[in-house]
Amino acid sequence: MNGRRWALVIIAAAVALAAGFAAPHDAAHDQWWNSIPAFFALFGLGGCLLLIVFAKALGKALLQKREDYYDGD
Amino acid sequence: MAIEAIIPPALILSAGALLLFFLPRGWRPWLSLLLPLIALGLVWAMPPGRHFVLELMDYRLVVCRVDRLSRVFGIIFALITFIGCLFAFHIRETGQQAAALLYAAGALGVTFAGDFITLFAFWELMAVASTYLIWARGTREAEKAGMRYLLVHLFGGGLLFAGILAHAGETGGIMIEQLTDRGSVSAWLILAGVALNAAVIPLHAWLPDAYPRATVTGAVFMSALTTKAAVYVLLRIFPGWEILLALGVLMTVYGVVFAVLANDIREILAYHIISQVGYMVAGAGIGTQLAVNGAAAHAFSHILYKALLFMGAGAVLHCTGKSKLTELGGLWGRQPLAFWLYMIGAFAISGFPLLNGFVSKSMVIAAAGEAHYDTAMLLMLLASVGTFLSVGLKLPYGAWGGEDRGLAMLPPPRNMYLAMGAAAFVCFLHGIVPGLLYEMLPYETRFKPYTMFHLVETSQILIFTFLGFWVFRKKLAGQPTITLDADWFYRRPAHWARRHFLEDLETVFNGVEALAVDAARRLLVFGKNPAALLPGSAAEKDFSPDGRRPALQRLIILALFSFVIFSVWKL
Repeated sequence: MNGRRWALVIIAAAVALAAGFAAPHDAAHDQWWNSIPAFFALFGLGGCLLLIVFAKALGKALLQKREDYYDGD
Repeated sequence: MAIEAIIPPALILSAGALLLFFLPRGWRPWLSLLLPLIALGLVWAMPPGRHFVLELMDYRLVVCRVDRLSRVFGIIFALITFIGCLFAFHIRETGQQAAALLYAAGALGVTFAGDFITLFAFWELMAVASTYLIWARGTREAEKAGMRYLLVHLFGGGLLFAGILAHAGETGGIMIEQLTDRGSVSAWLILAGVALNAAVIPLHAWLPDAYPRATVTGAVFMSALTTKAAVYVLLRIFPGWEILLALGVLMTVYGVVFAVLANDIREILAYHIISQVGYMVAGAGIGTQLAVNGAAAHAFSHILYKALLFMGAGAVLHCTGKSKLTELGGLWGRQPLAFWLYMIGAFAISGFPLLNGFVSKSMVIAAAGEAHYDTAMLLMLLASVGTFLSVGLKLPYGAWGGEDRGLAMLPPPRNMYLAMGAAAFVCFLHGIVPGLLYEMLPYETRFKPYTMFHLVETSQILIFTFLGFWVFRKKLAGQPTITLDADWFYRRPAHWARRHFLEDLETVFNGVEALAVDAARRLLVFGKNPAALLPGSAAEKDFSPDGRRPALQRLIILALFSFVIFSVWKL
């Protein structure tokens, strides 16, 4: 990723965050998380981290095996 | 037997599949393109109602029941069959072409079936035809995976048929109708049989086992038809069954977790079928009009972008012969068109605005919110994060990005790009003009996807998922491993059963046989001269029966003498 692309990503992130603060709160979306500022940004980052850590831990502890695991079957 | 003038699209495709074998070889791909278009036209034109009613013994079979729900699924099945056949236009193996058309005939037959017997017949047609698309790959792995796939689906078909028989016994009818009795064994059997085809956990393991091993073109049809035909049946028969909401939400997250671990690009996509079908199963579980609309819309969108993704991954496999992230990399410079077309599918499945995933996935999530299933909503949003992470970032970064491994590449046939372009076009069309998709849905809808709130929600999730990926991208690099899944529970016991009931038993039989032969050989020593065993007999080395018989000449002399005596006496 070069500098210009990073600049685009940062601008997009800033616009998305700013729009989140500016967007009117829709009555149809009355879930508790809608009152937390920048919730979905945190959710994207945290969810991404959570999925990677959880999947990798599960894989290492239990699920990932050598490619020839079933070869004798 | 009364037959109306309307011809079921499934029959057109089945008849066409057989006709292929009688045509000159050069015409066959053209016919395989024409048939789905005719089927699409028929689906489009069929008026609502029951058509093609047959009498079978005491039962009435309704081969073609058209309403808004079956129509929207029929349209997408016919459309994707056309796109899939375009993608496979260069294939010269008639078996594969015919299998693909029969498979689509099965899906359309299930969609328009008005009774359970018709549904079951087409259900099994799908299983058999799709198995051929795995075996046609021709590798030992594909052969074994195809057999597992077939056995699992025959088991699922058995559950479904048992349920149908029990249902017919309970109610005396075979018409497909909404089942509501949660205490009925027949309903649960039917649900289990259908859930297996929808890859509902824990009956899902056949999917990531088989799809990555199918042919490049076969996997495109498979990604589109089996699970979505099952989703249709769930929406038709089981809307509002609460267990489907729980299982559907579990599927959305389960698929993305396993996709993080997968190394084969088509296995990543296969796990994301489970995840995406999870939204539809959850929609069936919620069962409200918005949820059923959402599930149908998402099935329509998903079939298009998932086929596009499988076509992109297939283009990589076709050109390089490789499908593992650990063996791929740096293809961007040599396959820019395939990359960008794949990325349209990847952005669509991730729910980017202007693409069809944005306008359909949000409908299911909104339906969960409307019905106050907040946890389900959050988990489905988490699955969106995982979807973008694996399909939109990990896979393309590993296959097209990264270091160039200098793989030898075949040029892709032009028809592959045309098919990908067609799918990408509809992804954009429905993303930009969602009304075109919404007007086909089973219920009237006023759902508006392009709200400020939804745009903010989506853009924040996607941008910050990208940032998270970039930080941890090295952790997501492919590893040369496989990931165990629920198929372990039948693959390992099968291995154990074969070892003990076949191999060990064979060892015992072989041992007994060797013992018996050995014993016979030992006894032969005595058999050579049993007389030597008697006390006082001459110690001959080998037994000679001639030595114990009267000499032959004595017998002849006796016979002649008797003859002479008789002759004299008679005189």
